[in-house]
Amino acid sequence: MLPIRSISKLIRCFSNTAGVSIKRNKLPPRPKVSEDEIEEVFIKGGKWWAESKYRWKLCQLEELKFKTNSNFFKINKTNSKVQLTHIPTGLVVSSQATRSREQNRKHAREQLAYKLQELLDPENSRAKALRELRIQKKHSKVKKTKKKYKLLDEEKQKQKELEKNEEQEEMIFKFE
Amino acid sequence: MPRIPPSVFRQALRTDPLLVPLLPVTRSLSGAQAELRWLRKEVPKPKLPWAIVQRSNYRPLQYILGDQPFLDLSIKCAEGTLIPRWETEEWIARIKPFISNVKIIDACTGTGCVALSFNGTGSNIVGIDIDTSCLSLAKFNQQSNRCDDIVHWAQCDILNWTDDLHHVCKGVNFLVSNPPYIPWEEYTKLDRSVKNFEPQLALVGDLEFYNALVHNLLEPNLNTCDGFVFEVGNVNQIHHVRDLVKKHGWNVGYLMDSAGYHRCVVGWKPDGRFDFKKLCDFVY
Ligand SMILES: C[S@@+](CC[C@H](N)C(=O)[O-])C[C@H]1O[C@@H](n2cnc3c(N)ncnc32)[C@H](O)[C@@H]1O
Repeated sequence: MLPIRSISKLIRCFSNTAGVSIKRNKLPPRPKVSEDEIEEVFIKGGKWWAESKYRWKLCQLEELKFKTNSNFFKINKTNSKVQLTHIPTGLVVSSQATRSREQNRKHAREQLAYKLQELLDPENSRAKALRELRIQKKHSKVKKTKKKYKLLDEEKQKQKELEKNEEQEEMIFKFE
Repeated sequence: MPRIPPSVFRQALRTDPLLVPLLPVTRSLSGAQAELRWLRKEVPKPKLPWAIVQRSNYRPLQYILGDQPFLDLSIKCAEGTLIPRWETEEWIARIKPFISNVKIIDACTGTGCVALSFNGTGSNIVGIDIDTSCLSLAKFNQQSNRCDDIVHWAQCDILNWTDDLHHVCKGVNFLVSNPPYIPWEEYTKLDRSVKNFEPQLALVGDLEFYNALVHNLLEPNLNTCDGFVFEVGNVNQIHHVRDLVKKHGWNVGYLMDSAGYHRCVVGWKPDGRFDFKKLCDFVY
C-alpha cells in the first residue's frame, strides 16, 4: 500500500500536467476597436447620432429636417452615461462606471473591444483567457495554502502587481 | 413622466434598501445603483443618510459631493453656479486641438470650466462673468487644477457695452461662450433638479445674449478675432448668429452633440488663423 502522502503527490503530478495552463505574460494582447466603426449615443436622447464618417451625411439630413420644423429645443440634466454601438455588428455597450464622462467613454470602448473579440474569435480572445486564468488562480490558491508556498519577496511583489492589473481589467466587465 | 413600475421598486428594495429613495430621482435602477455607489465612495459614512435625503429631494449630486469631473479637470461646484454639462465637455474636447498660443475670451464663464479647459494650449485666457461668486469659484478651480497658462478673471455684464468690457476684450483672437440660452417658456418645463437648485441667472436667456456676443465682443475686435464658438440650445439661435455675422463675410457652421441636438454655432474668418471647416458637422 502506498502511503497517503505519496498518493496526493501523484494526484498533484497528474493535475499539473492535465490541460494547458495559461501564463499571465502570454495572454492574448488587449483588444482595440477602430473609432470609425463606433457610434456614440447619449443615453437619454431619443435620437441617434453617429461619430466620424457617418456624421456628414446625417447632418445634411438634419439640415433638411430643421428647415421645415425648426423649433426643437433641448437641455439635458447632468449625466455621465455613455452608450456605444459597433456599426458593422450592431453590438451595443454602455458605461456608467464613474462620474467622469471621459472615463466612461474610455471604459465603454474597452468593453466593446473585449466583447467584439469574444464574438469574432472566441477561442483566442483575451476575455476567455482571463476567465480561465481566474479559475486557475482559484485552484492554485487552494493548493498554495496547503503547501504553504513560499515566494521570494521580490516575486511576491511582482505577483501582487500582476493581480492588481488583472483586477482592473476585470472591472471592465462590471458597471455596465 | 411615466410612472416607475412597482416591480422596479421591489427589485431595488431587494438589492439594497438605500436605492429606494433614489429611484424617483434617477428614474432607473442602474442610475440609482451608480449614484449610490458614488455616494458611498465619496461621502463619509456618518453623513451618508443626510446625503441620500438631500438627493431624494432632487438636489443635484454635484452639489452634494462638491465637484464634477470635466475632461481632465476636477471642477468644484457650489449652489449659485451652474454645474458643467457633458455637452460642453464634448465640444471643448473637439475644439481644443485647433487652438494654440492665442488670446481667448470665455464670456459667461461660471465655474470657469471652459476657460480652464484651454489650459495647456499656451494661450492667454480671460474668463468673464457678471456674478462675483462665480468668479471666486473659478479662481479656486484655477488653483486647485494648477492651470499655469495665463488665466485672468473679469467681472463684466456682457449685455451692456462698457469701457471695462472693451478693455478686457481688446486683442481677442478666439471667442468662446456658453451663455444662458433657455427661453423662459422652456425654463418652466425643466427638470426639478435643475429648476429648483441651479441659478436662473445662468440658464434663462435667448437671442439677446447672442446679439451681445456679436455686437459687444466680436464686432469691436474684428481685426484681431479670427473665430468663435458659442453653445446654443436650438437651431434658431444658430441661424440668428449666422445672419448676424454674414455681413462680415465669415464662414459659419455648427456642431451637433451625441444626443443628436444642435449644440454649437462656429464662425471663422476666411483668411484667419483657424480653419474650423473640418471640425463642423455642417457648414453653411
Ligand atoms: C450657462 S452658464 C455657463 C457656465 C459655464 N461656462 C459652463 O459652461 O458650465 C452662464 C453664465 O453666464 C453668467 N451670466 C449671466 N448673465 C450674464 C451677463 N449679462 N454678463 C455676463 N455673464 C452673465 C451667469 O452667471 C452664468 O455663470
